[in-house]
Amino acid sequence: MLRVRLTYAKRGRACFIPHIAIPSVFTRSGGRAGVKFQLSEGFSPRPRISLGPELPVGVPALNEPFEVRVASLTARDLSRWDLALPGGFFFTGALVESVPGAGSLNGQCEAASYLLALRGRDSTPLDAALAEMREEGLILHYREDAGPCFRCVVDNPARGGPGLFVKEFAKRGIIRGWADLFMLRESVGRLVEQADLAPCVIPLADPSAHGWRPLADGNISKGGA
Amino acid sequence: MNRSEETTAREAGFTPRPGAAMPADAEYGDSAWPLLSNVKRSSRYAGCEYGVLPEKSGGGVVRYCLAFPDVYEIGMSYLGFQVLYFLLKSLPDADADRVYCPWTDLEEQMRLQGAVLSSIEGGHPLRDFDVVGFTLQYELSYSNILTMLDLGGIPLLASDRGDRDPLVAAGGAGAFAPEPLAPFVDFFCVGDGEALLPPITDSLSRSAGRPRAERLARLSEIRGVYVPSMVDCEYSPDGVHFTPVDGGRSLPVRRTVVESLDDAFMPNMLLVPSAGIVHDRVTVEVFRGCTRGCRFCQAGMVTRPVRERSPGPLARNIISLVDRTGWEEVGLLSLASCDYSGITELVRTLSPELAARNVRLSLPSLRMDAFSVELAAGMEAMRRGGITFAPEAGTQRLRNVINKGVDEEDFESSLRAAFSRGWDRVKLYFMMGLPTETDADLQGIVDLAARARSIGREYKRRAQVAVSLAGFVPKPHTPFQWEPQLPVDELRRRGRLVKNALADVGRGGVTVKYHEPEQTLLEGVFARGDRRLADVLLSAWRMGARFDGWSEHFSLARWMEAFAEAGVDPSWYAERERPRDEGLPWDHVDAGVDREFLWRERLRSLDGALSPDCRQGGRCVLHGPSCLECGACLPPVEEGSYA
Repeated sequence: MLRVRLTYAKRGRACFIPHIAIPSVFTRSGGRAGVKFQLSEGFSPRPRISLGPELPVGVPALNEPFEVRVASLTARDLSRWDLALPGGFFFTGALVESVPGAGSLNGQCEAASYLLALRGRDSTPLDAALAEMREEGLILHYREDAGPCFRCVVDNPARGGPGLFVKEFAKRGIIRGWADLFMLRESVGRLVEQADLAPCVIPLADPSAHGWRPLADGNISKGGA
Repeated sequence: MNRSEETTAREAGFTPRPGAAMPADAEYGDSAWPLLSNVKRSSRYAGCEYGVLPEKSGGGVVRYCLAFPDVYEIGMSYLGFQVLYFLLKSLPDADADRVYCPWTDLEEQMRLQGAVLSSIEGGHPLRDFDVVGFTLQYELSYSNILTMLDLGGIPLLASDRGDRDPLVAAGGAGAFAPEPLAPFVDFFCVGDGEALLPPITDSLSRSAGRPRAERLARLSEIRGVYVPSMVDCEYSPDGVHFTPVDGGRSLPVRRTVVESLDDAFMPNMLLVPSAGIVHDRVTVEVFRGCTRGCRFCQAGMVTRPVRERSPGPLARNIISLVDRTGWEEVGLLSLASCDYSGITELVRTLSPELAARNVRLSLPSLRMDAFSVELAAGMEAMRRGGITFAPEAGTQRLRNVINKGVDEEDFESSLRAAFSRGWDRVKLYFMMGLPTETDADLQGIVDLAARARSIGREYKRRAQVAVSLAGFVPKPHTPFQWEPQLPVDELRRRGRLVKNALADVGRGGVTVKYHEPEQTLLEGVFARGDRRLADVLLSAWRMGARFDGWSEHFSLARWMEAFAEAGVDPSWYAERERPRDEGLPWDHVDAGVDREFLWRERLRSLDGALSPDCRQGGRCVLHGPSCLECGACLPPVEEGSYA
């Protein structure tokens, strides 16, 4: 069995599909594409899937990680699986474990990057609020981006999820609730901090990840392409 | 796409589709987002289904919106819309989309923002379709129909609609007794949708651009189509009388059925939702109709005769659907799947194929006998939950009255089979208020539950018995259509009697739930109602009636106010015994079974006489040895083929 780490985008109205429904989105689409999953032990065997940190309902995303154990998976298989996904879901990357026991999924979800904007009005008021949040150590970094919107990096995405922004902006009287704030999670993954450069978040299906290799084009099995 | 995605794609030979990296404007600019972010379970409105077919372009296409008057997770569990959706998509001159009733929180938001109810796939306002077709599965969802029409920008009353408004259609079980909805609906479809939609589409396609009245007149010529604006009704002491308007087509309106399910349309794909629904599985209908003859059962009467699918092609279709949908479970649907003559062969064929795919098989309805339990015991999906049986009544006398062919021996053997095969929780479903019921029959329910627990404890120390009690609602086109329904207070007394008695014997082993008798009253009124109830419905809806089938929204006080405002006495509809010759509000709809047969069955019920199941070899046999001449039989078919 192969341990495969994939990233997916959740776009458009798919952002309203809750985190709890995501495993069946992938297992059903995988079934349609002929993917052979490794099943769990027990009375009701199920495909073994691990998800990354929870993404709240209503937040679109570009690179959400998950892991699955399969008999085999090539780039061609993944393209077929990708086409079997329901509307709004897309695969964005995939790696196969090459060193057994290479880091746990959640252990490698060190940070998350978000795009933030106020809905229907100028997003400038977020600037001061984000500056305060950075001072308070709630976020690592932010900067204004085109749009205009703000690009923001948070460490420990399990703790500092989108709810943090809603809570902090509402506390400061900028928004009333979720409906006033647009959020998009760009990536969840490894935090890269370099001198003189803004910190960035590398998606977990990035091929530079240690202990992982890209999918092969043709038939593969455990141990090599 | 950012740097790392590009690298991954290039090195791996996998290229993400462009939609993955579309600009965030797509979500930022979605006008529905603020609406959906303020409501519960926004996944209901997200769509994101697999299997959706592209919208057809160009003119000359009749655009249907299939409308389910309840929430998405219930509507998506309804097989009928899955079939009709793909049927319409398969017709060259038809297209289909769907819509479900928004929950009250979204309705409130939509009204605040002036949003129009739109279809789930294309996002088209309901008012822009050619036909908005509701399915009538439950009387307590009727107020939701008005909500959907109103939010969709369609005048509520058919008489207020113009040539540019959609035609509002309705089908399903409620179309067999359609009068309470007659003023809101342009045409009803009585019978099997697979047989009705092609000629309806053809008629609408040919009459495109013609005045509304002319289009409806043409539709009324199709067997199974009822256009209420072309039928007058008069009320007199001897009941309701219907007459065609201006020499329109003759009455009654006869239902249309498919003669052979093997030849009927069966989809080779199903829509797969992304968020959980009530029945989240591949559902296939193994047969239609039932001849067991339970006298309370409307579905068993109006779907006659029995028509089975052949096991071989059915098994192939099921496997294909599993492969195409990716669902993890298959449900075999019918009024009593264990009555399917090919059940053993079907299960034998399917089991290894499904096991190889890690797909479970389930039977939504189980007959009360050891064979059914043994069959279910082999199904992992069935073993996971409790097992449900429906003795319906507590004594043999009353089970004979309702022609429920279950005796004490069946009861005992099914329970022993269930507990011995590993189940530790059994649910028993009963009705209260059946004709001739006495307190002794209610005590019979208590005794059966106690007996079930006792049997269970022989096998399992922690065996549980859950009793479910529902108030009996006499339904049109059944032998009990003339019977009175019990008043709310009496239903409540009987429910409490059973509940208290079970509490005495329960001691943790027996639980009981009974349905709200107030909702039962309303169901009974609308089930056998006439056109005068439309005013009540409209009034109650204006007072705020929504999702009346959901106890958290139901208010009898609101409905009683609406009844009073319209000058209508609900007890006259629900609690009155009808004389034999009274004109009934559904007499103009011919459901297949003869009124005389229903009356004979009623008399037999009062004598406690059982009527046999007339099917032989899985099909109805006209004038066969057990034929009761119900009137619904199709002509005899060749030996070896399935009718």
